Amino acid sequence: MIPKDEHYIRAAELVARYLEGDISDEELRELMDTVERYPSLRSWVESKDISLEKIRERLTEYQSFDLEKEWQSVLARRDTIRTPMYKKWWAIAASIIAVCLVGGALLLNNKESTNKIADTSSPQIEIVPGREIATLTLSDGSTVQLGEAGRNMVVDGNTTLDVTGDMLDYRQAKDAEAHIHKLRVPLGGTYHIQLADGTKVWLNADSELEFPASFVGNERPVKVRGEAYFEIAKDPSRPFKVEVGDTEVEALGTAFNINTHLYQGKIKTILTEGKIKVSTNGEYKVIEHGYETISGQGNITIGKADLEEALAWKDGYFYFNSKSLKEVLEDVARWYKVDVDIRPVLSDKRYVGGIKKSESIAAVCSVLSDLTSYNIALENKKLVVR
Amino acid sequence: MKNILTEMHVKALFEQYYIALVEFSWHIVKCRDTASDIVQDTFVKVLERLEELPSQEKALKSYLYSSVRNISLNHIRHQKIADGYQKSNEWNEMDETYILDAMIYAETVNNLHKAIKTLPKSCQEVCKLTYLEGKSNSEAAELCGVSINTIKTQKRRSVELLRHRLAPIFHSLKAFVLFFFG
Repeated sequence: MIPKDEHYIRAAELVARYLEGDISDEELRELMDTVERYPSLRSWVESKDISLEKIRERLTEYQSFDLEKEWQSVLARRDTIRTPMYKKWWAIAASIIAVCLVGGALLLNNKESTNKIADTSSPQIEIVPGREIATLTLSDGSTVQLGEAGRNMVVDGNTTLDVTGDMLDYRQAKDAEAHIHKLRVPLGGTYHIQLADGTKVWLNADSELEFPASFVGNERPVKVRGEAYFEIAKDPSRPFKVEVGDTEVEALGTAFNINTHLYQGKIKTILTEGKIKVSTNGEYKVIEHGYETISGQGNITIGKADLEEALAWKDGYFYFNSKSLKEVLEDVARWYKVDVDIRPVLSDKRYVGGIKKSESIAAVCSVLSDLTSYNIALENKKLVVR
Repeated sequence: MKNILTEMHVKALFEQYYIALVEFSWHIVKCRDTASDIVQDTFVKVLERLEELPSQEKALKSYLYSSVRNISLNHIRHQKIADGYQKSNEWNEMDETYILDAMIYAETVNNLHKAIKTLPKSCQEVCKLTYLEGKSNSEAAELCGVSINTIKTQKRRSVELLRHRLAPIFHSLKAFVLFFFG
């Protein structure tokens, strides 16, 4: 350290204290000595009012300073220059392990765990990171990229929309013609939209929502594919109708999750609040909150729902409650759109836990391999269990 | 064994000195965004070299000021060359006093900013408007959408809070009041 700097800093501290009126007698003597050494300090001390006026002018610059935001930007800068891949992979692996442990995964021990993370995390394996991204298709067929480096304003005819952060808001959109817009979220993304009536919709990865820019008439119809969580704005005079495959879900003011990311075209609707009517092929069922329906194969079955399952994905978690390894693997496969190939006979141990959905399938495999007695790896878009 | 800084320590340092350093750099580069960039980069460097840094507070403060001063001076040197200015010694001659002045600004602005931040939100707003922006009570009342009496109460409360919590700094705020409203 250059000693001169320390002297300067000390001198500046003393002058600052003096100006603030926060100076002890001893410091005052020290300041007087310092002024002898640095004569330029004299004017600061002698015309205190002028000094404070100069300070006041500068102080106004920092009124709206948000230190936390500035710190986040330091961390972001640090992360962009810190590139070595292995560090990131280890961080990902470590974070999933932490989530699993917190989730209370009750799992077997495995002796050869250490190398597997390194093996399976080689960069050529596909990673599916979670991002707030989506594509919006307007009535004229043009598309707009949303999220991250996306834009802040969307214009379609006389409809103007503001995009705030990860959310598209149609509440201010005035459009008599009810143009049909389509929101598509790619694999590895999620997005969040508020429709013209105030209904909130969270779209999971690889999902689509088709909706009018404004609702006219006495119904509120939308179409969905993939997985979506709806919080319907209350309006008893205009039922909200979701068309999903051959199933229609009708709601007045409730919250529910629809998932078509299941095997064999099944559609699962979990009701977390209120009441809904689910109909398909002329058959219909009314369910209360806490229940779920499975439809999509010509009939509707009702069961008790695990609400956590409906809500976890929206909060960015991949969730399993007392599931066998087979079921966990099926969940994983569904999420990453791969098949499962189970070779040995699996034990029926039950697992409880959650994994961050934003992790890559490779990272998920390596955690499952480490925590079970099986070797689980991705081979040719298949989850192979040995 | 030597104490090694953690990210948490660095954050605490950041909270303590960020505004001081930005203000310091601003006096050299004369651009708020550039100053912020320089100081943020300095903290990135600190985060990257935790083990090489002095663990003693005084030495750290000196390290931060020196780094920011050097990067800031380099910045304007480059800028001068880029702008086609002749490399003059003008800066070198004035820099000693100038650096010292910049440090005085930095220290005082930082301390006062902190003092105001310790006030409750509503008082902060009133403080900003009246003491810092020089607005009158009625202007502040209009801007906040409250009555003049509320503004007066908030001001009184601010002053009392500052007096209790930060007796010394209160005097300087009083100096502001006297200066502008006295």
